[in-house]
Order: sequence, then C-alpha cells, then structure tokens
Amino acid sequence: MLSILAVDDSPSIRQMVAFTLMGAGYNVIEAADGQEGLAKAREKTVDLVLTDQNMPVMDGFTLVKNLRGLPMYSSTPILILTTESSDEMKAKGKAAGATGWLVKPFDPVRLVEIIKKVIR
Amino acid sequence: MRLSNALESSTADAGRIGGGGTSQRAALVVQETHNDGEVVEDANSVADAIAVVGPQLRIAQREIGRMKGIIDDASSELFTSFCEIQGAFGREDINLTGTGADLALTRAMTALQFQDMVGQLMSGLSQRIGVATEMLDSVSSRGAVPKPGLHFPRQVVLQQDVGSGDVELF
Repeated sequence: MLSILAVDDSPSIRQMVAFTLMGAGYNVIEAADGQEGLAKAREKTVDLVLTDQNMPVMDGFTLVKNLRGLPMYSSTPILILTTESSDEMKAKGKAAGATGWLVKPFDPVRLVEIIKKVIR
Repeated sequence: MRLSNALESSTADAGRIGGGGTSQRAALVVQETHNDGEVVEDANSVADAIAVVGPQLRIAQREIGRMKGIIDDASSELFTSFCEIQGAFGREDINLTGTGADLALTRAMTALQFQDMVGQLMSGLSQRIGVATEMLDSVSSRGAVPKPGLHFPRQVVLQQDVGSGDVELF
C-alpha cells in the first residue's frame, strides 16, 4: 500500500485529507507542522508528501527544501496544499522543489486524480 | 491637519521674516506661541484618542479569539457528524464519483474547509489588530516614534467564492 504524508497545522484539514486518501486506498501519516513532518518522513519513507505552507515551527517551503536534501526524497512527489494562490508564492514553491500547487478548498475527487497522476 | 498647518505656517513665516525688525520678531513669537498651543492641543487630542482606541482594539482582539474558538469547536463537531453520516451509509470507503450522497459529502467537505479558512482569517485579523495596538501604544509612549520591528501579517486567504481552488503541476 502506498503511503502519503499529510502535513497541516489544521486538525480538520488533516482529517479530511486522510479521510479522502484512505478512502482511495492510501496509507496516510499525519503531521501538524513541518518539523514533525520532516521527522516522520525520516522515520518511514513515504511515496508522496502533501503539505500546507503556512504552519508554525517549520513552514511548507522549509519542509520541502529539507526533504529534497534527503536522498530518498530527491524525486518524491511533493504537493503544496494551501490557501495561497499568488504567482509569487507558487514560484517560491517551485524553487523550493515542490512538484505541484493545490489551492484550498480541495475537491476530493480532483485531489485523488492529481495524486494518482504524480505518485509512483 | 491643524498641527501640520501650524508647523508649515511657522516655518514659512520664519523664512520670510529672517532677521527682520523687533515688532516682526515679536509678532512671530506670538504667532509661534499660538501655534505651539494648537500643536500641544492637537497632540493631547491624539493621545486622548489613542487612550480610547487602544483598549477597544484589545477587546476586539479578545472577541476574535473567542469567535475563533467557537468556530473551531463547531468545525470539530461538524466533522464528527460528517464521519458518522458517512459511516451510516455503510461504506468503508468513499467512492467520490460526484453523484447523489457522494456529492453531498463532497460539498460538506468543501464547507468544512471554508470554515477552516474563516478561522485563518480570524487569526490574521487578530494579529493585525495586535500589531496596530502595539503601534498605538508605542507612539503614545515614545513620542510619535513607532516601536521598530512591528509589521502587519500578510494576507494569506483571498478566496472570494465557494468554488474549489486551482491545481498546477510544475
């Protein structure tokens, strides 16, 4: 079973993402901020990371940069799921190493489609 | 306005009169004294206004905190109900095909996400009011010099409708 790391400081968003992805057959590991996400990603290698950007302790961009520095995550799909939609922020996400940018609110059907498209 | 006009007027008069006669200098002193009085009066008015506005901003910040707490609790309750309803349909997983009950569940998830965004907006508003309050406090205590390092938070939630967000793969 493929594993996805879902990182968001909002418990309800994490629950909805987990609900959607587990329903689609994925194993979901949750983290409440970038630092916790990085720790969990090191503990168990996942197949895709879905992260918010604006989080306490460590934000999404920093998490992405740190993950890309790890050999096992050099080519793992990393999607940013955020309320932000500016071109400037998207460019920063791309520069950090993100694979894609999803603006909230997410459509569960579309989310599963995108993940199926990028996950190996 | 009266404050800046008084300052401008005094400056202009000083320039015109320069080293002129005693009566002119006396007139300038009288005018400057009068202007100084207006300036002091205006400064006192500003301080009085800050003294009133500051506490009100703090009250607003606390009320926003309470509203966010209520919304977070409501969101949690709604999501619990959402899970229970999904369970009542007897499905172990969601087949999100966009029809019937699945569509209703999808709409419920969208609504819950917007509730989460309202919470973010309120957090941002609370921070913004907090910074504004600090600025007012620092101006009133440091003599019109704001405390350095204060900055307002960025706007991070700009959604205008309930449609789902864009997706872009790099």
